[in-house]
Amino acid sequence: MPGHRLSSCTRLHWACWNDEYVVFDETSGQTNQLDAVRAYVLHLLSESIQTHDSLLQEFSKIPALAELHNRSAFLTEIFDEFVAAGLAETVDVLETVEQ
Amino acid sequence: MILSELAQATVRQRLQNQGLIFQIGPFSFRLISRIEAVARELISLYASYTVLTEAAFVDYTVEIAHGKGLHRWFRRQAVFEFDGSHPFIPLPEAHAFPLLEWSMNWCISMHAHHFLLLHSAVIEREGCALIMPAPPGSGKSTLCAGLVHRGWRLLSDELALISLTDNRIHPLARPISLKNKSIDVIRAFVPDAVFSQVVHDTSKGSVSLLKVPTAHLLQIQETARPRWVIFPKYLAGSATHLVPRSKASSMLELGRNSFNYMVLGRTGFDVLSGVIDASDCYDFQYSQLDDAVRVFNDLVVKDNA
Repeated sequence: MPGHRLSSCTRLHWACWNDEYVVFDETSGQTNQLDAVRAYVLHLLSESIQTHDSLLQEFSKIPALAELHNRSAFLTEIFDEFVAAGLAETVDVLETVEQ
Repeated sequence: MILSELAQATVRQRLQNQGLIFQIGPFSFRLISRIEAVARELISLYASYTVLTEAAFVDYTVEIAHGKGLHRWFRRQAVFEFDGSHPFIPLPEAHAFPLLEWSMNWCISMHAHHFLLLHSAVIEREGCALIMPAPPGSGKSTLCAGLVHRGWRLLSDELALISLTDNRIHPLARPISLKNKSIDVIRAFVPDAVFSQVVHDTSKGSVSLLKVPTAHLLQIQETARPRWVIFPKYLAGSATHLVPRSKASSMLELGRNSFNYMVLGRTGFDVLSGVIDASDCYDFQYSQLDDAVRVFNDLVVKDNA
């Protein structure tokens, strides 16, 4: 089962102002600006491996996100952005659990 | 001792031989040149800068030399020499003094990694620093020159030197580089200002350097805390607008305007986020210097209130 996690080599540091976030990856030297949703997803990925479904469940707990009618596509878009930025990677959840 | 206390013949003699060592903010520069325009402009614009003794520690040795070979005689050139290397291509000899200024900027921006370095003008009022990063053509230097003649102190026209330990900004007050129409704008705005000779046909167009008010040099050791980050943009005929902007995007933009944010890694991130934490961030559009001065002064009034 595919899942996502923080890229294994990242070392993240955060700054935030109200609902604006900036995350710095000490390993790559890259700095990215995130909105609150993306910051929340990245935070969840930094805590544990997340599948698409587990994150959709998390979204359903937040009223503003629960109302989104295209949550799944939105989440895919966020994952793609994170992977492109080197912040997240795709893993096989079962294989990771067995390890 | 300051430069004006030396006889002009002594200044020329030292410049041509062992060099003159200037203390400029936190850096010492040994300047060497046999080109007369360099001596003439230094005597005019650097009259109140501290000159150190030969025994002083030197951070950077900058030589603006004559061109070599045929260029010593025909289409004369000025060459920037630094530790035996030539970082820039030779320029026409008429560009020698701006070349000296650009060379000093290069020395700092390439080597002074004990500061977070931003490509930015910085001015100060009441201990608070206003950072103005902006690309060429945005009117940054014009605005900076106008403000430092209306009650703001010049910290730098070109480089914000941010301490890695306490985020305070160190002054590097050197002549302000004005280009093209800005030269006449500031001549009209500050009639008694002292300028270098205008040098035409540089890569930036016509360039002239504006002398720093002596009172600002007397305070060159006084650091300031970051308080405002303002991205200026000159737009002919426009009204004056000061619009708050996102702190996160301001931080990323400052990072892009830094010479060594990437070099400093985690420290650079911590310092830059600290600067943004402490600052109100704005976009600023203007066409009239008087209006700009009023808007900037209002920031200080508002802060005090």
